[in-house]
Amino acid sequence: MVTQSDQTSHRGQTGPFRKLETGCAQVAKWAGLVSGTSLILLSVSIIMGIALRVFKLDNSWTYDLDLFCLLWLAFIGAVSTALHGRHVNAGIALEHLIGRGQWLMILRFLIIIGFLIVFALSGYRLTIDSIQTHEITLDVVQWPVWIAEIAIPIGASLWGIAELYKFLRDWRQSSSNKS
Amino acid sequence: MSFTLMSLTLAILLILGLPIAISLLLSGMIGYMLVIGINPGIDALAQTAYSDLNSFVIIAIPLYIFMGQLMLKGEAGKDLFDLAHRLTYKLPGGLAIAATIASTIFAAISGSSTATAATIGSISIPEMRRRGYPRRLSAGCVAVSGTLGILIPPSISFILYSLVTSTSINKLFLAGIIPGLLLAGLFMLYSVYAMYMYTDRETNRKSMTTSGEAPLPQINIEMIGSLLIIPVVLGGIYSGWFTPTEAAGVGVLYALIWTAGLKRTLSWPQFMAATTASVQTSAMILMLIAGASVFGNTLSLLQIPQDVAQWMTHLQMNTWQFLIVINILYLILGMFMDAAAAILVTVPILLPALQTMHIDLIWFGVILVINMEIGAVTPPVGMNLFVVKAICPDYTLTDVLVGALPYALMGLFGLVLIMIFPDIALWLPHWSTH
Amino acid sequence: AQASELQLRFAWYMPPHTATAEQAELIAKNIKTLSHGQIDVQTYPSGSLFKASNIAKGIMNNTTNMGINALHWWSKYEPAFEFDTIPFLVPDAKSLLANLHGKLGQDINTILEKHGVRIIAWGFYGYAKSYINNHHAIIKPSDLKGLRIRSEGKLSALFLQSQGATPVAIDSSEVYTAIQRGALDGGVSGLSTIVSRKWYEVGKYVSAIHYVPLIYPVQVNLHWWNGLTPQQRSIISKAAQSSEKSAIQSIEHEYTQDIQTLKQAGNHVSVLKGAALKPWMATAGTLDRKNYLKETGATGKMLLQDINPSSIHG
Ligand code: NA
Ligand code: NA
Repeated sequence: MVTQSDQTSHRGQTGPFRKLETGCAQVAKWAGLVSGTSLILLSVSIIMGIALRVFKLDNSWTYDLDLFCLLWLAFIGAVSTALHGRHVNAGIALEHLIGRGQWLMILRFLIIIGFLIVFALSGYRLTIDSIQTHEITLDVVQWPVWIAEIAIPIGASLWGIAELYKFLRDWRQSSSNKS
Repeated sequence: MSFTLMSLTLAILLILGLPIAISLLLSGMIGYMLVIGINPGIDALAQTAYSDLNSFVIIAIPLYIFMGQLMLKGEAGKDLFDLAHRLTYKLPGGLAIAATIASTIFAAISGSSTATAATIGSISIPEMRRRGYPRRLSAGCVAVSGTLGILIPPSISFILYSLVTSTSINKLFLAGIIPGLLLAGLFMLYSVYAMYMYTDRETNRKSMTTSGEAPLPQINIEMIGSLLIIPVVLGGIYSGWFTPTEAAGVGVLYALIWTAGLKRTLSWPQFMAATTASVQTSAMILMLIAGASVFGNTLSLLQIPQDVAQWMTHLQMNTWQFLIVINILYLILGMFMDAAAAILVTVPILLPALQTMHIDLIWFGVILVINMEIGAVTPPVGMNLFVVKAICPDYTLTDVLVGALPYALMGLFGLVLIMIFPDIALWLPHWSTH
Repeated sequence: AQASELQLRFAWYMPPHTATAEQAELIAKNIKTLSHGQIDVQTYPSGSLFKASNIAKGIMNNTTNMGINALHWWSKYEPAFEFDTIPFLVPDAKSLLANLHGKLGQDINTILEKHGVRIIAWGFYGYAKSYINNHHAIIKPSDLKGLRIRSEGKLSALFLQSQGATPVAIDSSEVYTAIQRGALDGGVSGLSTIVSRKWYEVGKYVSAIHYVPLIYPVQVNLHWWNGLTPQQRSIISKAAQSSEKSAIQSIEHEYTQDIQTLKQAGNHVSVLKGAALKPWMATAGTLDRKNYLKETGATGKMLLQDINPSSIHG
């Protein structure tokens, strides 16, 4: 969990790294707000869907809204999850086997960042393709699909920033532990 | 060759301690790149992740998690477990039994294992911890009891199976009920046994009845109000007001009105905390679904499950050998694939063999789904293990896995019973048609 | 055994025993026979590689070289490709196929090639827009009044509204339980969907109408296709095209078979034909055409004009 390391004092830390960390924290806050809103909106939309149908009113717009909220919740919510270290791993504690090498931290960071860059690129191409071909949902409301798809490049990029923040934080911590 | 590279990548990433979702997405992407080329492989990554998450049935997962969190933070979960505790306190392992009972009831509302484990887990595990239950037992009990979600109707797995085999959904749903109750009974039996063994009779009863210094809770209006969420959600589905997915949304609304409006135990900060926790747990599960679907999709692209199933049908076995080998195959497949993917990919291939051997397709459907239940708690891709791990960040995956093992064995025992006595599954659908 | 010179990935998402799935199996078999095993066809049936929602993207990025997918799915990009959901354009699938072999088919392919996809043969899913519900038999369009009906796409929703029904958007996986519990009064879909998805187990009254054959073309990735040798292209084309005739037979057979199945299951089935179709032509036929043209402009007009008027109901 984050709390412990958040409490580590930042004393003596100024300059670009400190600024970067503050920036990253802001971004993460935004991601939390957006994904929380998506979850609440999803609940409201589902209830609206039932209410409209019961009163025999057109509820088709809620169907697309449901799915769009779900996708924003998934991809933007993943940033909060990453920041709080809650993406589950296999639980194999390599550190116990080979010691707390900083190289392991760097290797993990590089693989994750490398993947997230490719994932963001992949999502970006998906979104651009949708915009260029004017792709719409097949239902009555016919919303532009890119509104949902853009959650992937945004989510992957912000996830990368969250990883960078965690890496800098952990790095500073492990360095100060050494000294 | 491509398969070897993919599995090797997955293994290395998991050992390095990377998030499982990223490990699955990354090794799946490598599989794509090897088969269809680098640039199309990059495109396929986001396309598959997007279109597999763009599915209405998945919506129930975050909503049930949100409902559970609101009930938990608004202290309504505590009411429910005080009540369950009041009813089961005389038995060793009362709360674990209550968790299985609650899972069974929830399974009758939700069609998925993960949603069931997430909801019951976020209410029952903190309560079990508070009362000193061993962490492995509480985690394992919830992880495995949650899998009843796909055996007790409604069930996403039965709907997919019916689609592929042209069998009746109604009959499949009916066939799942008694095996579901049987498995629930077996899980409870193990809980009693394990808790009996865990503490000697005196200390056990003491911790059960007084939970430290607090007196035994009395049944009160708050408990009844919190319990009402189950008939509201269930009754809504059965009276035709809403569908199983919509029921999750109604559950959120009820939990909010009850805890914030009537009970007044949910403050604004608690509501925010419930939302944040729900977002993080949901996103973790949703990213795993994305990862599992990309990885499973590349396995299909490489025709791995097809090859295995084809090879099986060529072995010329008698019915019993065939069924035993099938079970082993599905236990292995279940380790790597989620239920939906495994059913859609392998059942059409096995179908001709099942038909020539005159194997009852309804019975086989039940056997298959129990195998899928066990698959949900086997590594490396065990969705229910992940869900419980997500609810308890301080547990290791090993804790959940080790805790789940004995319950999974009870499930396996139930499977054997149903294979020897097909009537356990078939009696109800047969009875309903006569 | 000799190593094959080409591996071909072929995907579809319809469940087994449907006309489309059978056509796909036949094409795979034809390719193997015609190429004497030189083309190794790897099939991905019943959504094992792609579901309805992403198979087109799979063909576009060549994850699958070949696939079968609803033409109207493409109306996400080209709204005019929804034309095959308009009732009464042609009397049956056979005359629609004749049109697809002419200018209509060429125009569709010209548009589709902009997305990197080409159609090499035609197929059909069956007859769309039959009705199932739990209240009363639907004989004329106004019988729909007051019912909550699960719609399929924009045109069907607008038609339902025009008749005083409430179109409901609900996921296909939830229609069964929604009808069973009464959250929905019924749904509109092809008879094959009503049967294969088992909606008839929970809905009583079925109106079978033989008026909208849905096009499910056999599509290939254009870039991949252009990279094949002329001989390979000719084998695959022949194999796919030779399935067209039997595909039509099997949807007609399926239509009658489905009516049988429904009757045997105890459903109340109204098969609407002849004079009973007049009010449907006057409402659904005219309205869908008008709404379609309003949405799709010049392209829509062109495609409708491509359809030979001599084959129109009259
Ligand atoms: Na269930
Ligand atoms: Na597993």
